[in-house]
Amino acid sequence: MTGSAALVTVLAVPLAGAAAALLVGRRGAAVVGLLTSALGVVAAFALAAHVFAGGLQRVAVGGWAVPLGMELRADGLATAMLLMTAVIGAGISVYAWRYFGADDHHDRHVHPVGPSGSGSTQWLFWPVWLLAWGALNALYLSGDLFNLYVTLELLGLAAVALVALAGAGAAAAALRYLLFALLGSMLYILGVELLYAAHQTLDLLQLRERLQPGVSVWLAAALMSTGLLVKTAIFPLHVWLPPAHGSAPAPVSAALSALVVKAGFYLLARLWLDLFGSLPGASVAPLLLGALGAGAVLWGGVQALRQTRLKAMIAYSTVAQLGYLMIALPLAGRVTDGAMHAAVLLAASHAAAKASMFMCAGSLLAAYGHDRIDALTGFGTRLPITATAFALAAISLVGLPPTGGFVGKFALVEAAVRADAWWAVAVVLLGSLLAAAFLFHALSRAFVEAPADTASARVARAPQLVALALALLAVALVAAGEPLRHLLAAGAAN
Amino acid sequence: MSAQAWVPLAVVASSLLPGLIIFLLPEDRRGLRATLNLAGAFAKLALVGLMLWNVGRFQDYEARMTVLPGLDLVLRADELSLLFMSLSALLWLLTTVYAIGYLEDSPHRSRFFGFFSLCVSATAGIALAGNLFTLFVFYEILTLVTYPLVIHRGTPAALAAGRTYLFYTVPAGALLLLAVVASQVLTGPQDFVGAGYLKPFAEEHATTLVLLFVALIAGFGVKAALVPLHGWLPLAMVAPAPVSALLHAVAVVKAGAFAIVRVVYEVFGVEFAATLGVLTPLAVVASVTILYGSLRALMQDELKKRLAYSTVSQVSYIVLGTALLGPIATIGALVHLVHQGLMKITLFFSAGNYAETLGVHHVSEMDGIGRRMPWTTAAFTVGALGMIGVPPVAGFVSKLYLGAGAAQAGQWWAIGVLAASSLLNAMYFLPVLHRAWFRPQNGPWPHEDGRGRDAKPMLLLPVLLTALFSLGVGVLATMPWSPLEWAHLIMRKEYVGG
Repeated sequence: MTGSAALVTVLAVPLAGAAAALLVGRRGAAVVGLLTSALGVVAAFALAAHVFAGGLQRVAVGGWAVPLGMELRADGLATAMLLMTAVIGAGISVYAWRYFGADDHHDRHVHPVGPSGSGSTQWLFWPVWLLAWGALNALYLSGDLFNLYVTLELLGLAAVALVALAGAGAAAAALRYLLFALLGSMLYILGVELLYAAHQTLDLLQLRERLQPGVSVWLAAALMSTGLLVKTAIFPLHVWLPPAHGSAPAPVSAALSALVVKAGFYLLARLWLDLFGSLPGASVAPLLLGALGAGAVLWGGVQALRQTRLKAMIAYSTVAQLGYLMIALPLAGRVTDGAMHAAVLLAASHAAAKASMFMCAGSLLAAYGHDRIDALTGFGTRLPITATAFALAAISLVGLPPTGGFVGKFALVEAAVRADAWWAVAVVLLGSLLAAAFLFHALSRAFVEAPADTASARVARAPQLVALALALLAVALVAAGEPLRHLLAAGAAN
Repeated sequence: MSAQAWVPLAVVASSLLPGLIIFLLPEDRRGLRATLNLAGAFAKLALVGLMLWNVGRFQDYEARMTVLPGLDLVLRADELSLLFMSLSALLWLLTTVYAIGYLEDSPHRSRFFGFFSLCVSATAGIALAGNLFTLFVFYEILTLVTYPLVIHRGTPAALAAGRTYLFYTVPAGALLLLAVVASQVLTGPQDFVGAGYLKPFAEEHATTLVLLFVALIAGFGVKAALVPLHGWLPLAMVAPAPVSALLHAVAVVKAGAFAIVRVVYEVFGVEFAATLGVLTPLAVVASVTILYGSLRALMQDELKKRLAYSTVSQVSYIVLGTALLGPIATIGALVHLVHQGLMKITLFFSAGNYAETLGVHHVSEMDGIGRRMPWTTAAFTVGALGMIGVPPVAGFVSKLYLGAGAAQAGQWWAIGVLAASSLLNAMYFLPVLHRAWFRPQNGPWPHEDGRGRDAKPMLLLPVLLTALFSLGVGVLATMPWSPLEWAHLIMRKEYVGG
């Protein structure tokens, strides 16, 4: 496979899978989903190999050159995000297969992890999830602002649909999510239009060269950034996230928290490190984003500490973790800098650990019938696989060795010290203390003896093993520092 | 990577792999679990023996892996790492035997022994760490894998002790992260080296270096239980006796003290640290800890608590010796690292035997226990006399060198501290010995297990061996391969620069 073929395959596989899943309907959707996931992983690795060896990969869609046509590009950063999406996404697919499919399973005495028998619409998860995956891939590969808008919109709608799948209970959360997503897109597209009016191009690379400082550019930058902040759920525009992520079914929460929110971060990094980075005085904006990130780390951490339900706690932890990524922006001058390296490592580790943790929460919910943290006593004995996965994921989220979260945090603190940004150092360290406080509290429930009368619903093993695999991935990312640095450097768009 | 890189890796793996397999074993596979544990422990001991033999002939082992640009994980065997490594490998073996006997029929043994092995692996990583980053990484891992052992019993008291443990150690880890990053930014990649590597940076960054020293000592001082960072240690004694042995002698507290030794000698260099003016404050902190720990020990009726405060005090002997400039004090500090471990594990094993065999937990219940459990009490006596510093037990050798080192450094007040502490040691240990040997039994034992006279063999054998070692390293202190001789060897490296 050539580089451009790999690039097109990465884009096409999930979208084709989504269409196929819709066409085969209820019976075969899961099979299509699993096949698509496997192909998606292969394609992402093939593309990564090309970027690793040959640098930036690009394809002019339909053979039309920019600015008439549009171009798909995969640089190091985009490839890293694609890889993350593919690997974690495949894990989510396997989990979802057991989660939604447990009803049909012959093994009836085993308690299904998912909501039992609640409806004929559950298979719709598959087309919508694959659509979201495709939208993510398209977003990472897009080289122009309008395509980015379309993919962002597609991603937002798919995500809202995923939340709504939970049924009537999640309607309010889904509606709120929808309103925020629409608001975000609207702000973003307004900014794009301003830029187009002034520069007659939407291609990121061309725009960067033509960019003329002026009021309209600044206004455009502000509108687009605000829109993305809403979509990424950056403090103080995060209010839609905890209910949406907390009330969704486990695989949906995992997909949203691990993957979907990363898209906004990616775009902010692209805008401020690539596009607007050359504007005079542009360094103020990343600083502002970093300050919001600091607020997110602290606010998210404190709120997570105050939660009494596991899923809500995990959702607030996402708010905090997204803050770390924002803090990296003012520390990085370019997308290949140490701070971005740290941010991508953190993003990938968070994706693996957070997906794993929401899956654990799903298994615990199935076993205990609730997710009140203080009443989850003895889960270490009852669900040893889940407890192990939860522990490893928690260690990575706190940023303790030997995990990817640790290496990412170390690199972030190092970048902050090198930049003399002591505020960032303080916030990152405080954030890890808060994370340690709420995660170790939840974890300590595993060691308490459960009361003897607790009913012991057996929980399927397969989903628990997926959670464990993703937690182990978060640990294994401890060794990802050097390969990732090579990837970011090799694929740098000059 | 050198051809011998597999050896330090195998030392870590020899406890890591059995630990991971043990996690997967069902509770009732006690034979297999014991076999795995003992096989790992013997393998580790053999590997350490191999390294001792070759490092004694000036051959170093090193394994290296790059984690981030300019940041390597380095495992390396040198004289100093082997001093700690040999101690923890030997005591792991004995503690494993003891723990198998102690935890017979108690729940969650696979979990216990799994984390136990991980603890020993982390300790091996700390001992073999070749630079500050590696030391920090394994130090943090040690925190993580000890926590489940502290809360092993799952009781409210155990959970509270675990919370306190994390309350001290997690912020310490954050502080250490900052210190390690700062030193990385300041110096670039640096491995530990005899007589330190920070001296060239003194001109421009003197204040930063002082702050760095404070941060590193405070971070590592939490596990070394320096006052006022000691609060977690006395609470942690709610854990089962083998865990106490692990915390106090094999791994945790020792890891803190060992890290301080590394920082003073091989990051700063003791002579440079002295010119920086940071040693005297450290000596004062150590002295305060020594006296405070002894005073608190005096007030405890609960035997394990008394021993815990005694640890607070005794471990700071190592720190005090480190903080005094001069080769003799250095030898005293290094040798006490080993001696304190041998004596303290003897005392905790004995306390565990009393609790298991007779249900005796308090000093006030120990009247006449010497007649009932003569072997255990004999071992306890050796450990207690050693702690006081009675010749020829190991503690005497330590105190001799520390005292002479204080004199050599011209720090006469430190001799006063040592003398006062020895007096306090005598005041809190001699009455226990008096009760045990010379007072008649005053009522039935709280909870007799109804078997034979002394503790069961699995519990008795380890404590007799450690008591014997405590005596042996004192009597044979001047023989080749003794801890004292090995400390001489290390000392020569640390003063080469001066």
